Amino acid sequence: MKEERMLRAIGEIDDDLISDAVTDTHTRNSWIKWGSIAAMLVLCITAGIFTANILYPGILRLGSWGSAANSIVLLDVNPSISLTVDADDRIVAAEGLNEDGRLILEGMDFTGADITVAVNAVIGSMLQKGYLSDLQNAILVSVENDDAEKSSQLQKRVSDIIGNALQSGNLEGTVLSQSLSGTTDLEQMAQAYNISLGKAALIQEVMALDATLTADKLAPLSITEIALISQSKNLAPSALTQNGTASNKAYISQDAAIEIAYSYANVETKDVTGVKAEFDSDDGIMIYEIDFRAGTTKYECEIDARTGQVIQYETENLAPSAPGGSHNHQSANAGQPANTQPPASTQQPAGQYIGEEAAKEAALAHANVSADSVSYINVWLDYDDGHPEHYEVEFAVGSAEYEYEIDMYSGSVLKFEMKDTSHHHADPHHKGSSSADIGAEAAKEAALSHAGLTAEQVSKLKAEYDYDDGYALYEVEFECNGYEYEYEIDAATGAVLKYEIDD
Amino acid sequence: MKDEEIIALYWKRDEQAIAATAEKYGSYCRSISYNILRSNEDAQECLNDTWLGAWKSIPPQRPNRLSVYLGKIVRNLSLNRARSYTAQKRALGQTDLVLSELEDCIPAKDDVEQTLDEMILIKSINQFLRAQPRQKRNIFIRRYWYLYPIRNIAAAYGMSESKVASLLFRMRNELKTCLEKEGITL
Repeated sequence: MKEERMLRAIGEIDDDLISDAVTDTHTRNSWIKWGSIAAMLVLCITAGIFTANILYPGILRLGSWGSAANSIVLLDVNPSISLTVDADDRIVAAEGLNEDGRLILEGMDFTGADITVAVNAVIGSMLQKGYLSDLQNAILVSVENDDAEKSSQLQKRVSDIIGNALQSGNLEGTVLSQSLSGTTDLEQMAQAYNISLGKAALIQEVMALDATLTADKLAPLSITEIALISQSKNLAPSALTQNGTASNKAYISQDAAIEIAYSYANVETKDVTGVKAEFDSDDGIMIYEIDFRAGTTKYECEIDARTGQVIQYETENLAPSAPGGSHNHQSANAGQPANTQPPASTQQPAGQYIGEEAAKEAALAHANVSADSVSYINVWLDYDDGHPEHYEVEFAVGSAEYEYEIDMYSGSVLKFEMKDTSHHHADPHHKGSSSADIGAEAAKEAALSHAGLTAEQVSKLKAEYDYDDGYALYEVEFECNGYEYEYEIDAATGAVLKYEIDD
Repeated sequence: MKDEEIIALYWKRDEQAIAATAEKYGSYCRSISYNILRSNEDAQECLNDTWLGAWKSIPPQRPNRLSVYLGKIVRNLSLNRARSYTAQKRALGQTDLVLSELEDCIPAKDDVEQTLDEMILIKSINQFLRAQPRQKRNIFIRRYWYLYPIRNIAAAYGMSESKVASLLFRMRNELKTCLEKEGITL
């Protein structure tokens, strides 16, 4: 029966959710309080006294925390934390909004403490755990309070506390701050991407200034990464106050990226006219997007900003094509006599083309991959409007997928794209730094010690790096005495996230 | 006694483990079973089976949260018993009601038939729940994991029963939409 299947599936939800459901005493009290506030509100309104907003600013979202709640302060790095404070800036509730946020708050109870104490402790913990570092140095402060003046005061106060805390941690950080008013749009975005309202607001601001950026691209990034993209594109979100600059130390320099692009295209610096290099994101990976022109050719190159690897490459010939040159992009200036191509309806005899085998070879040679190491390879002549354009070659090696466009006459690479579906090179940018990766061996050890076993006692021991919902982890598996063990180990901390034992 | 100490007893094969477990988590587990079966006698039998289940599975298991680990065992055992009673048409606690409510979250048949991996379903439910505000999430879990009567939930949160019922109704529909978006069919 389907309903029973659903009931059983609900039975297997995460442990923390199950235990939280019956320990939410906070909730219990606050709902009762919320009920009485609601009653008061009704009284105020019926009596014609419209003071409700002054008495209880932000009541719609704050209401659930009871009468004491006055503002919500959201802190985002990658860990997202929500601090609810009363009118005297004392903590009413602190909540981690994502896995990392909960980790930061673990074992901390700020109830009744001044916000200075809480923010200092949170920043200290982020520094200690490596979420804030030379590489990831940006923190976003978002304050929600219907009273604009109070909101900007609190914004300033929290920013100053953080500034001081970072300074004493010897970190040149950057603090971005903004006021928030939760609109339906924002709430939908926050919910869809499982990010805080503050981060959603930042993304919306940045997106509004550059049409090429999307929430899909930006949501998986850390605040530092979003700030870097916005910095390099010279976007200046007006609603945002920023102190300091986002760190680019985790990445190769822009000059280095440009050099890689030139040498990849086999172009001399002196021949280049007009180059543009910007940070961008591709599937949650930080990249440099480098556009330049040399002679009559336009180049577009995407480079993994961490490794310097070229992941996408495209050329376009802006001049009327010459025989043997690139034919795939016709010039707008088609009246020029240099264009010797026949009308589209009469196809050229295939004999003039290099052929599918040669196109394959050209692509494989470019990728430096041997024909027997690919798991599949497809090649075909690509037509546009019945007109042959170029060869398309697609193949995969391991988890890396390659796509090529090969010139039909010369066999030169017109366009190239490589995607690694395993996200191996997207090392934990959600974590403080790449050094936060404990490695496969340590992950194995963590799982074994949890199971109370040694490597000698088990068989089929293996650890695999995985990226689950933006969370870097190792999947460790082994067998012992007829039992199969499966672990998920946090790639940054070595903590056991999940485990299963089956016989 | 701390959970780690209790688990250590299990690993030492010390039968004190069961007494300690029953003392610490007896009422927690009993309420889960009672919600499902509405019978003290049945609940007690399920409880005994639960302690046995824990004894047999720890080791090799080393639960992170002993409460939930036991809760899952007692929930499954109680649901098994409830199912056998349904076959005999004996009246039950919340089970029948909850099952008929859950009809709302069954995704409509889609053209794209996906052989459903239980793990995918569970993951989607987890995601759905994590995206919910805490109160709503907890109310949902109290109803569909713990099978608490709606009256009981309403009292705990200071809400009216009709409010709880309509909140749950909306959440079931949301969950259904959510599962359909993921292309999940049951």
